[in-house]
Amino acid sequence: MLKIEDLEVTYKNKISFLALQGVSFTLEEGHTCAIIGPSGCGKSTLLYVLAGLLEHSGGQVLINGETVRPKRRETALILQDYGLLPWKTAQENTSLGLEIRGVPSEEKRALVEEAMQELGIWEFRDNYPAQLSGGQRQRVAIARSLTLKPDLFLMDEPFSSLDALTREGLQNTLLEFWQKRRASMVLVTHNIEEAVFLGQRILIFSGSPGRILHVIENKEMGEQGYRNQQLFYQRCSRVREVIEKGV
Amino acid sequence: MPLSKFKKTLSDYSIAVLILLVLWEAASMWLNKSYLPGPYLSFLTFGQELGRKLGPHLLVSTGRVVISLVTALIPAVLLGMVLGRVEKYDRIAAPLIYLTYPVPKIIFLPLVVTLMGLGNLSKIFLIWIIVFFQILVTARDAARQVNKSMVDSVLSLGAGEMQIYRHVIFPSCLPKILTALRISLGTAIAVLFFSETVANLGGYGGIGYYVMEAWARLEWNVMFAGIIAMGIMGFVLYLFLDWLEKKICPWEFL
Ligand SMILES: Nc1ncnc2c1ncn2[C@@H]1O[C@H](COP(=O)(O)OP(=O)(O)OP(=O)(O)O)[C@@H](O)[C@H]1O
Ligand SMILES: [Mg+2]
Repeated sequence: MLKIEDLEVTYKNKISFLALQGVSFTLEEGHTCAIIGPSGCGKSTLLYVLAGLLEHSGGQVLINGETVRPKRRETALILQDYGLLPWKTAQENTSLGLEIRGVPSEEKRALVEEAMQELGIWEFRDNYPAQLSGGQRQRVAIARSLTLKPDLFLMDEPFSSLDALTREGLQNTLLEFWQKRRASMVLVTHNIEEAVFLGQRILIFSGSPGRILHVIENKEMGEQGYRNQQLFYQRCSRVREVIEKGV
Repeated sequence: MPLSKFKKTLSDYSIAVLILLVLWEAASMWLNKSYLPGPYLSFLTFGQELGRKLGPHLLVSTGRVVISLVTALIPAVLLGMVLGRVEKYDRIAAPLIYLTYPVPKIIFLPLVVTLMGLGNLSKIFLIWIIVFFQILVTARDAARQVNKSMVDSVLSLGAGEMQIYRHVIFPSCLPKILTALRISLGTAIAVLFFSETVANLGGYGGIGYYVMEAWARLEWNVMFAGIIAMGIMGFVLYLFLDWLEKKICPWEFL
């Protein structure tokens, strides 16, 4: 379970900048939440804090009751770009997490093949990232995090550089996964449909300093054919309304 | 490299070599002076001399260049990467580097020779500081430019600092380092030639010494044999670095 209480984050450079203030929410084990909000409102900042890569200046962040710390093994972070290393092939990129953890090579190979097969990228294992499509690249990034058997997925606009069709394909893949594994998931996105399709709860942020403006419950997420249901469109309109009018 | 591509590269080079030889021959015929012998006589002398004195001289010079490149490369890359990544060390080192980098190091030749003598050490050291600074600055700048998200995503996989260097910083700097190395190779050979001509112990003093000796005796064809030897040495080393880059940075050539 993820529990965030009165979180405050300040960037301390020459001038200090208050990026997040008074952010509180909880995410129950195995649930998903989508975060949406204007550019610069601190969405990435929040994920970095959850990933243990950035220290917070106030409040509390608890993951399964423990204060967040760097290198928590069961947390996976997937970024929009640059997640893959250009000098490693798809397979080497997928192996990276296991390699860093010193997993023996036999076991590593098996886990990597399993994850890559599951995402349909095993046949591209010898390609370098430059030789993969944007969608395939994100599949590699997902496969890499899957090899580590995470219980918390943090994703920062993972599909935003993809075309609409590829994007929907990956959203479906991600949903299937989540339904199979039931890991907790925090997804930052700019795309309203994506937020409604993948978030059981949608947190709408506003900026300067970043805080939660509104929470929309979306329990029907994951239902068969949700994308084409009336309710889905209603939720999307509702999210749009809150973003535009602030209520 | 597949055979067909190799053949193509070979034929490209043959054409270039042919053009240079024709120009050389034309210049030599047009001038018609003993101090510019044609390519035929020069290469003939080169072939003969290689089995005599030129061979050991060539070996000495090549050894000096290779030793200084290798010994400069390793510490420069390591230090450069650390400076590029760790702000607090860079703040101390950057002013030092900026002040000393633009100074032409050859100016220290008299001092270096006085301190280290006329033998190998002074020459290797002179090339060493030139290459060292070149690679240091390149590695530092390259390490500074490494994408932060890339580092973050590898950190999030649980990587420690050493693993960040190994998986992210080093491979990201490598192509730039090899390019810098190829560029400093030219400077290194020029400095070597110069230092071999002005400071040597006689004997097998290297190609610079060999060329100066031939010049003093007005043996023009021998002098040109030395020039050819130096040219070939530079070319082969350059080709080697080129090959090395393709070999160890395959992702750069997709
Ligand atoms: N390293 C930093 N130093 C100082 N300020 C920063 C730093 N990183 C981000 N900020 C500031 O913090 C605020 C939040 O940034 P953040 O990247 O979290 O926004 P975001 O919501 O992810 O935006 P986007 O949707 O454009 O990705 C921005 O105003 C930004 O200028
Ligand atoms: Mg962001």
